[in-house]
Amino acid sequence: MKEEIINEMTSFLDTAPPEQMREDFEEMKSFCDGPLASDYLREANRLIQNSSEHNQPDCSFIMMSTASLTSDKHFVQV
Amino acid sequence: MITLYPLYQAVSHRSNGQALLEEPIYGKTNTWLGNGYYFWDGAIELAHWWGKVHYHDSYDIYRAKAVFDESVFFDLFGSTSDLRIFRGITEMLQREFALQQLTVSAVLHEMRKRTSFSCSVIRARSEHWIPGSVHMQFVDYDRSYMVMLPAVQVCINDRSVIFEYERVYAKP
Repeated sequence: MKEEIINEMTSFLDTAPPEQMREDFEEMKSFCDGPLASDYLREANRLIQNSSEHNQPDCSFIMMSTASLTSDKHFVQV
Repeated sequence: MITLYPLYQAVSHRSNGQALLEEPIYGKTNTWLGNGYYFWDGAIELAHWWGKVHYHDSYDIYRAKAVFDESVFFDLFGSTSDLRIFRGITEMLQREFALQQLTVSAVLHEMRKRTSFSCSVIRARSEHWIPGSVHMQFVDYDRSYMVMLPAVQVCINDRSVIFEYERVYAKP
């Protein structure tokens, strides 16, 4: 049943008029330019500031934040 | 029928004077699996981590159960066939639109828009490094490892399949 999705998408991509393809391209682009990276940056700054105030770096959280930055937001391995 | 239990949701802390939540929080912004009720699957540690990061330590945790038909489940964590479908669609879109980096949310959006895809429960593992999670090597002569606390999320876009939503942790 779910396998049908692949056929349906193939059929759409094969037959969609150019204006529909343009519309979908723009929409997908907007989904790929989210604000998540700035959230991580803000969080990393907060943690760094917090760590320096207490003179006790919380390395695990800073590593998490920077790792998220360099690996470009959330991702899932496919 | 499929049952997912326990599911955990971290929410902003309600002080003692405030009533407990009766309804789970519905996510509509930065929702990588689409709009819906987001839960961490199976491990309360994940909700604690999210509470610390997202709510800056001021959080409560609620637990819930989800019961639903297999046909509405798109399982990118536990089903290799669902993952294969998702990979196939992703490759197709990548070829067609030549976007430098597609996101999961973009692919799911296009699937919902242009096919009959209508799964209301989506599960996926994000590759977060969770503090305290152990990466255990398979064997000592190889770098392959198993993640002992995978960050598995469930997005549910059907309130009627969520049961027993109750608070299990409150900020001290």
